[in-house]
Amino acid sequence: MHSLSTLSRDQAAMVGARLLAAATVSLLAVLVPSLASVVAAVAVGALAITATAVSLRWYRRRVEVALVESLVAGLIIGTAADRFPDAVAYCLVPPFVAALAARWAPVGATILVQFVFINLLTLPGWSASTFQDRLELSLPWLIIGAGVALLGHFLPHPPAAVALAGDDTGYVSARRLLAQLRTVARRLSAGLDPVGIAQQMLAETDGRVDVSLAVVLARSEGGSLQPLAEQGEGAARELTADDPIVMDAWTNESAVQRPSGSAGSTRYIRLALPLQVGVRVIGVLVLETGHTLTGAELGGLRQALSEHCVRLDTAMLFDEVRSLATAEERRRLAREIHDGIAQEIASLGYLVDTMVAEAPGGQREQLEQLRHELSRLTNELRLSIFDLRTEVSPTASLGAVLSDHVRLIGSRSGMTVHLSLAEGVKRLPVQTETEVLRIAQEAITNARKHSGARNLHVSLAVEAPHARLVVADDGRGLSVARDDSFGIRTMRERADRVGGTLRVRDRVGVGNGTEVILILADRRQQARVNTQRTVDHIA
Amino acid sequence: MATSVLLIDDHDLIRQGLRRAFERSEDFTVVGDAATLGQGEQQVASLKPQVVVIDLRLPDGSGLDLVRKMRQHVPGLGIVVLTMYAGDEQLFAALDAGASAFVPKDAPAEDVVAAARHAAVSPRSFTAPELAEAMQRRLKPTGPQLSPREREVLDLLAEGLGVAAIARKLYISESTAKTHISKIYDKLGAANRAQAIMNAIRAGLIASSAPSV
Repeated sequence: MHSLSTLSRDQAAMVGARLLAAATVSLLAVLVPSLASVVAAVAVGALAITATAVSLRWYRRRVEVALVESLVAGLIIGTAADRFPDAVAYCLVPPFVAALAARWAPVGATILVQFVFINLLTLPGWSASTFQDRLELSLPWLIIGAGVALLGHFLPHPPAAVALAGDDTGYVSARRLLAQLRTVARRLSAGLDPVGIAQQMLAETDGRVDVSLAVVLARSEGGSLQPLAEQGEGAARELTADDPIVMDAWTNESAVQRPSGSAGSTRYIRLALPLQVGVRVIGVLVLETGHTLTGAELGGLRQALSEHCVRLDTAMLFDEVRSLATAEERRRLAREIHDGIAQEIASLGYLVDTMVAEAPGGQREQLEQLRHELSRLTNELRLSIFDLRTEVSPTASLGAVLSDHVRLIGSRSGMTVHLSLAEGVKRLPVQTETEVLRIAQEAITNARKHSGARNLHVSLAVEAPHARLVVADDGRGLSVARDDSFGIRTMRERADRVGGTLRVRDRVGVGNGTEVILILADRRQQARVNTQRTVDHIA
Repeated sequence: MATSVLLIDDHDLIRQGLRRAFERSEDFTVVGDAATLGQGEQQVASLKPQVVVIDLRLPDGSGLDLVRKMRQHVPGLGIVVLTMYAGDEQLFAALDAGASAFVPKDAPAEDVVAAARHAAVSPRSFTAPELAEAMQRRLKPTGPQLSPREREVLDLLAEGLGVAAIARKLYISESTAKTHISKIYDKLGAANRAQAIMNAIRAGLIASSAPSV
């Protein structure tokens, strides 16, 4: 656990003193070999090693360890004194160790304890030697012990090393956690997207139970249950959080099954299974199947999903942490631009206004051009601030935010905006909405800055967990070199993160222009469901 | 007599630029400037300017709070709000707070002077370069968007027609009618007909006088 190089100076002095004393006693025992001397040397060695290990493990308690050590050392020395007096050398150690901790009372205590033990064990009937013999033996050593303690006390103490020493293990584990977090963050799109995990859960379920419709509902930031992934056409529309069995499963933390409406002659069983991590419910799996599941089948399914549940929970938590951090950073950036560079450029604009007013005719035109350019720049910064401050919230859905954004940007940029929105009431998870919004913003910015288009078509259709976003313009297409390739890469990363597919291409069949299409859908579309059933329950 | 102006902005260069712009025009005199809400409030009281030009965001709070206070205490004061923000939300907030004009900071200083001139003459009316567009943006519906066919179906639903009757009336099959109804329910966040109609009325998709179920 501790290599020598990681020991602080005090720790090294402590370990060194103990080992040196134990080695000295052992050496003296070898010089006068006898059963008593070997036993005493082994006892001293054991004491030294135990005391070293214990005080390194609980470094803050090293003074108490030294006190106990003095007691045991006194006992060993006192017992062995008649036949192996050299063991007394070890009595230097406890006062020294106590002195390293820089307090005097424990030092005195260790000396006193050893004095008492070494000399008390001479009581008549206990030992051959007299009290005076023992006094002659122990007193010089104990006085030397006090001297050594003085040395130990005045050994320089680097303050930082002392402060850190006790918490080393904490830092080590914190660092390990942070390193794991970094690894996770880097591989985010590969393993930790909630939608992907929910889809795996559905695949796992489908492998065990013959499922016609299934949906994974997870708790979103606002507290409501939102569909993360579905299997079977329209499953998320059919199996909603409004179904009482979902609430039952959620509150009772147990699976609930109930026969649902029949289609033709087939009877369907609807099952709601709480997704749990320990005692917490993080979501509900709702499915429709042809038969009632037995206890064993349910148990097996729960077992199979339990590992996915932990991953889903972690992924959602990580998503939340990441989006909190990102949102805060965006706000900070917006403030910084607003209070800094934007104001400075605006004030340069006012300065140029003065110059324009005072300039002779020839220069005026150039200055006016400069003024125009500064106004354009300021406007650009204002739009950046607006972009950075735009965000979805529990009260403002993706559709609402996007339509406000598109209209404002459109009218500021001179493009004619054609907006089409079809948004159901069920919303996507907030993190997903955020990523879709950022992709739309990026696409709109690219169209505004690089395409030279007159018309901007934005359409968004959301039917959670599915969504489709199209941002199209009628400007010059991608074939002309444009410097927005970085933006496209960012959009692609965002799409990956929410399990979406992104296409950026020249528009076909409508003359010219570019379109960006984002599709959030199940990668394994299964069309086993009879759409007629969806309609039936409405009538 | 020249109109007296007070400038409130936390950036020195902005204040200097505006001061020079006002000094260029004969009909204004800058009587003071302030960098914070606190200073601004004091100077409004002591200097009694006719027009105040104030930034929306100041180190010790929102300029709008002071706008509201000034409008309450000095009803005839001309108030020009300057902003670096681009959203409509700030424009309408300035309007609500009682400002006389709203000018973005990318506009030339002459626009600020012109806005101050307007503010001095009619402090209780509101002008902003993008007011018309912003109003238009605000009036456009942001609620559920139904297709024309869905609107028709919704109207018939509101009249109390059943699925079969709707299908007959629109010359579509019953299953198509059901699909339309399902879509409408979904877009309106309704579980049944009554809810759908209530939500549609709230969203302004049908008039509340229409007969309902």
